[in-house]
Amino acid sequence: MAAMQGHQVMSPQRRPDSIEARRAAARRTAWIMGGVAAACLLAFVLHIVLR
Amino acid sequence: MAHAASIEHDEHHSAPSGFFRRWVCSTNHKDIGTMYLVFSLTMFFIGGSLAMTIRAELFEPGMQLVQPYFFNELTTMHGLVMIFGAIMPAFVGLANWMLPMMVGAPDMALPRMNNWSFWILPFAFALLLSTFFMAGGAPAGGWTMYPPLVLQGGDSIAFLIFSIHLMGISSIMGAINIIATVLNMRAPGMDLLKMPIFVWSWLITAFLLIAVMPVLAGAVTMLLTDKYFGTSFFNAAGGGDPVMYQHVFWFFGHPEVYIMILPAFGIISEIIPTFSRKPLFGYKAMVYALACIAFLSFTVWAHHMFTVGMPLGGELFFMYATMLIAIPTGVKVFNWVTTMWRGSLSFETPMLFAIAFVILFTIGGFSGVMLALVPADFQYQDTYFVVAHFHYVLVTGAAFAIMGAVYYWIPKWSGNMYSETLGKVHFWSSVISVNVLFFPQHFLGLAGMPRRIPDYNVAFANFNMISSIGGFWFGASQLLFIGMIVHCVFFSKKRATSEVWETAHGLEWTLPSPAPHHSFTVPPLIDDSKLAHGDVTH
Repeated sequence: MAAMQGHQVMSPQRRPDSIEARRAAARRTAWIMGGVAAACLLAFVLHIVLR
Repeated sequence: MAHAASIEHDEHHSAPSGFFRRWVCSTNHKDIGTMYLVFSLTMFFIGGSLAMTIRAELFEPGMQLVQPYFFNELTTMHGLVMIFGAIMPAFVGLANWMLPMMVGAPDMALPRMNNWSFWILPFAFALLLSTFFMAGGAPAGGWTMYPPLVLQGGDSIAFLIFSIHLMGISSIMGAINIIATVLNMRAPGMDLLKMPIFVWSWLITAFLLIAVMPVLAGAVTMLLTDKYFGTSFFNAAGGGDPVMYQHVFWFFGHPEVYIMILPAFGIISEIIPTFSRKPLFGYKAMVYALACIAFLSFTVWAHHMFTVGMPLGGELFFMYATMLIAIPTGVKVFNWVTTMWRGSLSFETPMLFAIAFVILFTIGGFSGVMLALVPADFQYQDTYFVVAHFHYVLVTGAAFAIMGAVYYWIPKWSGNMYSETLGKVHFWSSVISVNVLFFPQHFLGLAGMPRRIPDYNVAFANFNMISSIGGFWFGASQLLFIGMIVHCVFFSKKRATSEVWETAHGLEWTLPSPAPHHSFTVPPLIDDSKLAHGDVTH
């Protein structure tokens, strides 16, 4: 039953079907990518400063 | 498990009325895409007018029109405006328009951030272009901003750095939005390996942007502190290292080259299958080649600076790594050719631009391989051969792909067909003139004419005159492009169908033309046979 429910709410790619849930997931992705950009900047600054 | 592709869009929610609400407050990906494209076209003409002035000065030896320092301002600003103002925003505009429709999403994942990404740009470029009117003039140290030269100019460098910060913020936010949209907003059934290649190319480009734009921001901030706050990051007198700036800049700058060409690869991979009436040959190989090129782009930066002096091992590494990029690029060129092979070809304007891209970009690629050879590069460095090379890559490469994309998708955007006659005249005029403009520059470079000079030896006179004539001709040809757009959007009587092109596949072609203001508000049911790459087995 749980598996069926899972199938109902999840696409085969495990992306949620509802647009709201997808937008929430997209916001999480955006924060993660923003963190990656900040990490790139930090890595660069440390590379220069600690050189 | 295949279903008929359903067209789900909301006809009842049209665009908001009033200029301010519709455009300034827009969160709609189509409107923001249109604004990006109009902005980029404006910058293309501003950057082009700078180029026309450069070519007018170089029409014959001697000083004719401008002072030498102003000439340096022209070359610097031409590069900055064309790269950051014309090419990059054009690709972001195309991504805004097409990506949500291609993956079956109702809009970009973060629509308000999308608005901000765009509206930063006019302010950034107002800041940059205002430097022409400052005491001391615009930045004149080249678009690469090498210290110590760039620090010896006036205060316009501060304006340049702040405008680059703004452009960087805009690009990073745009890239984040694209990644979030592609990874999270695809319609159910739109697997990663069923996505159109244009979507793939932008996904990979977005990762490049996120990785390298912060590096540029950091580097120019250090220039700022060197100039105004007494630091010596790049000042040899204070213990700094000006060559380090070059390494850092090109760690950004080389991936930047691919940021400007990978989306073009994606566009060409959309256009050629449609007008060959065949699926793209080697879909997966094309995706892997894109990823491979993106990865390699991080490992080749020092080929821009072979002559600064580096260990032999370093020169060999960067030479071989650079030549390695020819392999995945060759995979792409061969796959485009093989897609056309025995296809039922027709030669509408987008296809003409795509074929010209394949041929002329390959010429630019070959001269790139020549430049990768360390011993040869010592001769070519800072000559017009380099100018010819990167203009073949960026004009007949990136700009031709953008023009082809506009011809390909403008019926979907406007609901009208463009004038094929006007399109073909624009294409042939552009493709002939661009070769008259840039091909002689190879000979000038090989003969030793340095770049970024307002005057030259009389030995270079003939090729420069030919090049300038080509430049004026190419510039004038682009007025036809404007004419085509205005005619298509406002005056064309020929309505576009939903599919537009006979064998175009993909979700965007299931929507009516013009695409409704809100599309796919309910995710479409995917029919693999309607996708361009729904049944990929190769």
